Amino acid sequence: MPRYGFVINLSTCIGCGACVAACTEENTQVLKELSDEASVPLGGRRDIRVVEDGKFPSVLRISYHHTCMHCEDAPCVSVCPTGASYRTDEGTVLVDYELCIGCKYCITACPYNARYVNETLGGPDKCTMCYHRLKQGLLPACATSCPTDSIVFGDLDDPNSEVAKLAKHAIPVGASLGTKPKVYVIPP
Amino acid sequence: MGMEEFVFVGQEWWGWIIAGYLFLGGLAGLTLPIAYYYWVREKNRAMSLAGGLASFIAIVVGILLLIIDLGRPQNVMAMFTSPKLNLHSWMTIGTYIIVLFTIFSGLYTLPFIPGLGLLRKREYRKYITAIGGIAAFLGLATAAYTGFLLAAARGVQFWNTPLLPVLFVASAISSGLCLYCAVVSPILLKTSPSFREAAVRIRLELQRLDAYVIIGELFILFAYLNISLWGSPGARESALRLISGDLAAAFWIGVVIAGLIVPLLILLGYTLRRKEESTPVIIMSAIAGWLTLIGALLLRYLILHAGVIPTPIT
Ligand code: SF4
Ligand code: SF4
Repeated sequence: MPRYGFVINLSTCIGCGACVAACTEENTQVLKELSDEASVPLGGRRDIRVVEDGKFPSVLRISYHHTCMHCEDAPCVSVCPTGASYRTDEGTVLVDYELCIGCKYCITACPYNARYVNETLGGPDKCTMCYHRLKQGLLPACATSCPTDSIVFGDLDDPNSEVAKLAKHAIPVGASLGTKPKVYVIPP
Repeated sequence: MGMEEFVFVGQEWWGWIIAGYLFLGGLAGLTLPIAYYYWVREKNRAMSLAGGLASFIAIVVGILLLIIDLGRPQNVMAMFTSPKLNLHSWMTIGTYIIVLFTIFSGLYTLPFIPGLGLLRKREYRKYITAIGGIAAFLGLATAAYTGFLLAAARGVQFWNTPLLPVLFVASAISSGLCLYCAVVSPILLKTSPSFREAAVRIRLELQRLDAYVIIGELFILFAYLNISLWGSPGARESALRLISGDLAAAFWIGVVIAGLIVPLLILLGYTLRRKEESTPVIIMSAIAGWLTLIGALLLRYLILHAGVIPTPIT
């Protein structure tokens, strides 16, 4: 089984938000299958947020990618009472709306604040790695839309994959939180 | 950037409704054991009826609040039927505890309802005592679980400490004791002649214990804030919001002064010194009780509201 993950290259990311728009468009179509009115709000599943740090003249401007880390020790999965939040064999963390009661425990359990309440569905929503696309052999929408190819997706266990090579020199996001995240960044 | 940096995002998903649920869970959970104590010790029926009913009503309202807060209530039965039910989740453990507690608190209270004649037979009493023992235990478990539920939510570091269940249990004990002084006792004084004889003694017992619990709760609360200040970044941020930030006024005035110190002063300075159930004593006891109850609700709301999720940005 592959072990999918992302490497995000912040040294080439220009913060244009094309990935966010692509994500919203792609996944709104997916949520429509659950409910006609459902949509993914811009920045709901993935977001580019600019943070300024420090004081003039040494201001640090970081645009960080806010998304689900598909943690290997995912707290959202371990707190979910009904098993609605679960991991697939590929290690993708998903929500099964047939079982979700909308208690929001998974949202308070996620140390990356990666989940939000989708108002129409009344339950949590978050990045799925475009699981529906993976099943068709396609890349996640964000990765295909990036003009500078700063989002690299693939099998972290395949030593020949670009993502695995890059991950060797990249930093797992918030590794100190101890959830074994599968999103890495190359710092700016 | 070797060090990890975080942006803090306020937890906005659990608010007043869940605060009310946590409060009622604690209140119901401790009201019943107090009633049960007076049943075992002196077969006090009036207190078992009033305390049992209050506890039953509180937990039912609490469950309703929990259901109202669900985003997908249409799936609520998944809590019982899901093939993937997660028995390690405090939400699951808690649901089963409160369902059992509701059943047992109802069963315990039933025989005390006048006119049913269930208490007439002496041999029934041992069953009542047994059921009450189970109900009292489940009540304590309910109160503790409300803290463990939050403690396990990894996103909000402020909650991730075993001191939180301890704080909630202390606050629940105080709430339970105060419910008698604020609500149960005034009603029983009017309606139950047998209670009237014991009223002074019982109030003094409850309030004496309450004074100790309030002092203990103050210590636990300050220990909690203190370890949070020295703890993980999110815990520190939340503690600062309560101590000196946007929630400081509500915390110091509402929870600490009005909810803990004023009731303590009323108990120590006035009601514990009066060995009669005069109107002023009843009124002052009720004031201390209501302040404690409102403070306990506010405490839970502020602990929820102060929660932040420290999103890593590097
Ligand atoms: S980032 Fe959050 S939502 Fe995603 S797997 Fe980890 S804990 Fe779950
Ligand atoms: S909101 Fe749904 S997915 Fe999240 S913990 Fe509750 S039941 Fe599980």
